[in-house]
Amino acid sequence: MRFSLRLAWRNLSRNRRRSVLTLLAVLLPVLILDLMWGFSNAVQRNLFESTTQLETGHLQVHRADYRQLQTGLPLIQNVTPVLQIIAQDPAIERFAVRLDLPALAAHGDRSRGVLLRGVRPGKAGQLSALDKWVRTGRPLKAGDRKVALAGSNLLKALHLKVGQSVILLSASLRTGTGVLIPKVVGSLAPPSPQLSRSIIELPLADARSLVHNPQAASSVVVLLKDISGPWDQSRIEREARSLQAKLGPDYLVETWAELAPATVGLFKIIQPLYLAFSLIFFLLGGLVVLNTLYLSVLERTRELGVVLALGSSRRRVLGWIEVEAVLLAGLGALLGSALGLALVGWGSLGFRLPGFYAEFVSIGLNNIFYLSISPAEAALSAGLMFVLALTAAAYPGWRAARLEPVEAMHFAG
Amino acid sequence: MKTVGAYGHAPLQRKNNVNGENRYKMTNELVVRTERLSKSYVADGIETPAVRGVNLKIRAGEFAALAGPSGSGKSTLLHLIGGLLRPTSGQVWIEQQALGGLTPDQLARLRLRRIGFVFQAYNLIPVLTALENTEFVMELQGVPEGQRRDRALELLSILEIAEYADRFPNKLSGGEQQRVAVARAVAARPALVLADEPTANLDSESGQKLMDLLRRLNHERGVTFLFASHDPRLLNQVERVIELHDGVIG
Ligand SMILES: Nc1ncnc2c1ncn2[C@@H]1O[C@H](COP(=O)(O)OP(=O)(O)OP(=O)(O)O)[C@@H](O)[C@H]1O
Ligand SMILES: [Mg+2]
Repeated sequence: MRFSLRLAWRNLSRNRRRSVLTLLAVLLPVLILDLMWGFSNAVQRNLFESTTQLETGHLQVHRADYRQLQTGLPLIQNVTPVLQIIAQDPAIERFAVRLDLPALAAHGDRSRGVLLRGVRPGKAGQLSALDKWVRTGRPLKAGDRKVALAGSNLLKALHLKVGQSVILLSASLRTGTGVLIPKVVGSLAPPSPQLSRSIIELPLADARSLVHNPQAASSVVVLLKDISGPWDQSRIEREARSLQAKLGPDYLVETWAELAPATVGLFKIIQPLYLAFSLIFFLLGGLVVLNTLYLSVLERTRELGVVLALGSSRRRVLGWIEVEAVLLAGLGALLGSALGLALVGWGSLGFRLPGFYAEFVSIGLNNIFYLSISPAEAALSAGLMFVLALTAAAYPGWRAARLEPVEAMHFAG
Repeated sequence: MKTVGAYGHAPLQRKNNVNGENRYKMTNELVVRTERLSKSYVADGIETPAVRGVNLKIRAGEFAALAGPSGSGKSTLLHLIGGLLRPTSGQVWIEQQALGGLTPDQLARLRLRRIGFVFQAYNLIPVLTALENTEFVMELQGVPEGQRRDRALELLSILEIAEYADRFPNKLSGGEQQRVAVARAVAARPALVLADEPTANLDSESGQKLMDLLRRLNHERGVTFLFASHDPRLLNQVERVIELHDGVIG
């Protein structure tokens, strides 16, 4: 073994160009593959977070019959017991109460049907507060009463300006009628123009006063701990089942995937696409690795013949080739992984794609991407290239060892 | 590992001859025997007979040479005897061991322990220095490092290339490489040395030094030599010349 190591080392250092090329042939595919995983994960995470953080949460609790109700408000009349159960669940990071309700907004001689969203501002309420969409004015603050933010298109339609008051009217068979005249303190610019025409955000307490019920809510939005992307879906579903069991049949627990089928549809397009790209790259990178190691051993058939002729056993010759391949491929895979992980790690702090801001935001994405790679993905890219390299080196070595020494010595590769 | 017969280091022949000087010479034991040995190369569907029906006996302690024009089959015959090529037909025995029945690894072991090779094209290992090339077979044999180095350096200085010990083959002249190849072959203390044109690239002085060394090994240690050559200076110094024409001895 020591002998093989020394010969291998000598071979590598005496043929520096060949060694460096071979090293790169293993290193680069691993590196690029790591970056591809990293970027693919970043896009998926971005899409996932834009959906879950701003809109759906990971889970939502509604009244069990909220989808069947055609008329009237599907209100949870008293949300306190639900919140008590949720607050005790160790898997839940934070949650927010929402009260969504249809209403009429009027200003001067104009009126529009709107969607009111009552939220609790402040840290715990960030989940459902629409802070990220605030364009002018200020977001809601804890303790705010009788203030509202409205979609910018809606402001235009009502000829309403920030600083003026708006009349909100709600009416339903179950809750009776309610009137509220908050002051508009800011405008919202949500990604969808439709939402921009209809959304009004106001403090939860104000929304509750419209339905004359201080305990009411339409949904509780839940964010779970340690969830970073769609790859955590099975954990989300497990938690949904567990929460459903605790809450009982009066409530319905749904995951983000049920609440945002459009995003799920996007994933269904993106994921196979990335998989295909990765596969193609694996094959290309794999071919480079195969070819380089194959040729580097083939090139030495003559030398191997001499060693065999001088009395070395075939096993020894193969061992010598394998040691060399392990050194090169191992080093290549290691360096490739190190570089790849370093770059992904650096990208995990978040980086901005220059020049795409408007496009990303208009489809509801963040302009900041957070690269990430799972240990399994990193191990797969390094491991597969490593094994491929060993196989590629072993084959011509094995063939050379099977030749008669004279044939090998006369081999003109 | 057994240490008898073809697989081990059989003790040198110690039967004393009457005049003492050649005390290892001319026992009756055969080191090489071939019987109706033939080899044809097939290339592009054309069969080239290179060695045809060769019957040859080389006794322990002989200092012999195969002679013949280029293409007469000298190298091929040496390779067959050394087990580097499988014959098309016929058989080779090395010290009573029939090569035909051996696996490639058994053949390799036999070469490692009993046979030293000097190839016509030297075939030094390019990534090893002259010294390391000389040590190489000993390293395969498991000779301890210090001993290996001493033996190799001694041979290199006898052949007057000790100053190039740390050079790589591509920095050596043809003649220098040839001498390293000879040093590598004899350093491992084989019982039989098969040397293909060992003097081809040497001037007469270094050729003579080389032959003196080999002759001494033959005398003092009883090493059997079989050369292939058409160099008259070499052929003049061997005890027996075996003529080869078109693959036939005659
Ligand atoms: N690998 C091979 N494939 C096909 N034919 C071969 C091969 N090696 C040798 N020959 C042929 O076999 C014959 C004998 O070749 P060999 O090398 O044994 O001759 P030689 O006596 O050693 O010649 P030289 O003195 O030039 O070295 C020649 O005709 C040669 O062309
Ligand atoms: Mg020849």
